[in-house]
Amino acid sequence: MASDSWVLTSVEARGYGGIGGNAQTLKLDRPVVVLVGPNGSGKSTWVSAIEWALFGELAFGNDFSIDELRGNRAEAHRVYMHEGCDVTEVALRLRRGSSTMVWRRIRHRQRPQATHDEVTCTIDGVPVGTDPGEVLGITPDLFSRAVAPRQTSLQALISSEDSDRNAALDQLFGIERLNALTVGLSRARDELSRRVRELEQRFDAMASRLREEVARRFDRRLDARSKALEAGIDAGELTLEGARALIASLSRALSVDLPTALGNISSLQTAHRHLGSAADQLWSRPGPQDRLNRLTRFSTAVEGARDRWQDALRDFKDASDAFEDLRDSIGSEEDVNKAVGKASAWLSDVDQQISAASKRAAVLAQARDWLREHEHALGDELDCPVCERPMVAQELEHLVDAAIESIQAEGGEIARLSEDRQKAEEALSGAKEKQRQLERATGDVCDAEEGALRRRGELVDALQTALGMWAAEVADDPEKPVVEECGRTKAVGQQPRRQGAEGHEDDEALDAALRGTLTVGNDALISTREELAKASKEAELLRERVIALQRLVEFLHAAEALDALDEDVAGDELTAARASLERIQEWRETLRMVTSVAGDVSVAVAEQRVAAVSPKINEWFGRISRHDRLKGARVYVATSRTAGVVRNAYRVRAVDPAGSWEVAPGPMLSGGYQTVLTVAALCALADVDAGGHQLGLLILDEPTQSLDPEMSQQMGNVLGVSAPAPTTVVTTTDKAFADAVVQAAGAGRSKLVPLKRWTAAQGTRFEGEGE
Amino acid sequence: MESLLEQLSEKLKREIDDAERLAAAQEVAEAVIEALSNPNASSDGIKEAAIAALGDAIERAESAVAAAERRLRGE
Repeated sequence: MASDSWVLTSVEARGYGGIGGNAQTLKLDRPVVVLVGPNGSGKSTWVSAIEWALFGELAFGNDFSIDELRGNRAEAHRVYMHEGCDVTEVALRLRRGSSTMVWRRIRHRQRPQATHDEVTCTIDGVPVGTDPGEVLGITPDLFSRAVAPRQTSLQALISSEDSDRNAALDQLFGIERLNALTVGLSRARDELSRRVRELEQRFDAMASRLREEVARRFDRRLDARSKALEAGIDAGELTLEGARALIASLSRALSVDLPTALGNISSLQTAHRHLGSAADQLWSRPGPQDRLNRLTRFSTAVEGARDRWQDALRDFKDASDAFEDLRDSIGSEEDVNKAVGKASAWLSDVDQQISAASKRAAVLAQARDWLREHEHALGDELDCPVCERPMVAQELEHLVDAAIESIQAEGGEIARLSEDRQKAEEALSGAKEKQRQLERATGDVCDAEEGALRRRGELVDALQTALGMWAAEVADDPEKPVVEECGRTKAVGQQPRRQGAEGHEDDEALDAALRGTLTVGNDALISTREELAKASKEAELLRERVIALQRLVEFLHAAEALDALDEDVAGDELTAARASLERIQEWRETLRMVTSVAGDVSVAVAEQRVAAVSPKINEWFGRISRHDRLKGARVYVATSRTAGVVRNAYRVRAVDPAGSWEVAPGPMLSGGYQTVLTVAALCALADVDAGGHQLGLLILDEPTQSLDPEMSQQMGNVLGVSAPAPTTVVTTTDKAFADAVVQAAGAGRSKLVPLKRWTAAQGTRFEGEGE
Repeated sequence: MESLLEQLSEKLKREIDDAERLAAAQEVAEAVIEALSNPNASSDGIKEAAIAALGDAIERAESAVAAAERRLRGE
């Protein structure tokens, strides 16, 4: 144990486990104290009270592990409390030089969780912290291995399982912290390496992007150069000055006052936008477009009106000609009217004759009827109703019948007259048809004449409209002759048109004036179109130059971007980033060195520890062993490194004095000698202060398991003579072993603490005085 | 712990010639040994102590790289 260890001098307990409500004190006022008693007498209870006082829990195993006791399961926490007691209290008194430490833990039944315990620690009456790790450098795990090792912990020291053995010995040798050091440093190095790798990757990606960006901007500049040359820019103009000269030329041609000075690419782009806008405007409406529109509207309207008027005049002429032809064909209106009169008279005459014949026939029929109604003797004479001469009745009747026959019979008078009447009707119908034809032809002529007059009026209106347009929109100089001609023609058209041949002369005069006006107008239109085409071509050329300027500016912009990237390559940020990376890489190397050195130190310490402990194990084993050949023991350590982390591999062996025969724990070593090896290891570690804590206590709980009486006696002698710790507590049920310890140690250095058999009524009790 | 630090320091002096790098290594060693002196010291605690001993070197490097990235993006 360390020279500055605290030595446990007494344990005072009440209400803990099998210890009843009355306070009892276990005085540890000798270097060696042996608790002896039957099974269940409370030996282990007193030993565990020390652990409970320090940690509030016992590392019994899974059933009562701290993990199992987490939460608010009050019953589980009360397991340490004596039945019927409301309070459990354990106080430890420790001494170091002239200083006294009092460590006390109190638990109440109502709040039995460890977190509610009242824990106090004073050194010479002054309160200090209550963390066993801080005060004594002891943890529950270390306590269970190095201070109060249980059988399972003891077995771990000599376990055939490498991992268990190595971990246990690392901890006992105090190497565990060095392992934590190398592991931690290695992890730090890994962490640093990971972050360095990430930064390097980012930096590399950045560099890669930079290279790609350089290539891309170079290609873009090359492409912009080609386009500028294709657009008509000379290679010598691919400069800022060239752009300025082109802009000056375009601004003059487009009459644009540029708002900004041409100092940089941005100002060039601004100038290009202004010029582009002006060029587009010019290109979309170049030259005298309004004049062209006016002249076009005039020509279209007046020509259309003239065409319609001319069509109407032709219709009028056609109607007149048709009328003349008809009159030549069927005669004049007078002739036709006469024919109608003559045919009407004829028809009237025939109708009168037919009427007269019909009347005569009727009279004759009455006479015949009278003759037939009056019987006359043959030869009677009667006055002829016609000639009023006397005539024989029969003859008269024959004459009447003959007369009726001549009027009404087929081919008679009435039949002949009817034929005449039909002819008269046909003559009348034909005459009337000619009369209607002449009337229609006359109407057509009148309609055509009216149409021609209407179209003429429309023509004059079109001229008036054109004049109004020019008056409203202000005619250009080239339009003025057209306007004058238009005015004159309109005046001609407004003169009243005379009738007949004179009217035709009027039409001829108007048309002549009109043709002259249209000729002047067309001439103006043609010249305007030519003027417009020329302006369009100029606008197109200007627009192309503006586009060329755009290409030139794009080239200059691409060149500037490439130049800017060249500056970035050597930029402060990149330089700083590269320097930082190099710096951190140096740090990584430094950390690697520290890790490596820490590993070296760890290896050296492990080897030093083993070198110190191994002879002690040999001594302790030799003292205890009664084996015929196995008189000693050794510990070996082999170290390995993985990524800077040091791994210690221990071997614990029982050996013969010559060192030629080594026996590893396992089938070749009996259970008793495995116990001897374990106790030897613990005693050796306590001897050389390998535990690394400041609790000067070693508890050997039933160290004689698997030992025969002779070996037990031997171990008792050895432990009594050579107490391995400032305070060594041994528990046993073996009275002979206990006596051997005390006898070997002597009364001044040891004492026997016998315990009575435990009873529920009285709990754990000490025999004799003093306890 | 002082003994351990002394051992580390002595060995670092033998291993590292460059004074600046040695000073840095000593700084790290002191930091991790201090962390190790904690009774509840763990490998994670040691790692954090070693990283912390680097100061803000990593953060500075990350900031520098980020600044360079922003520069290249034209921000």
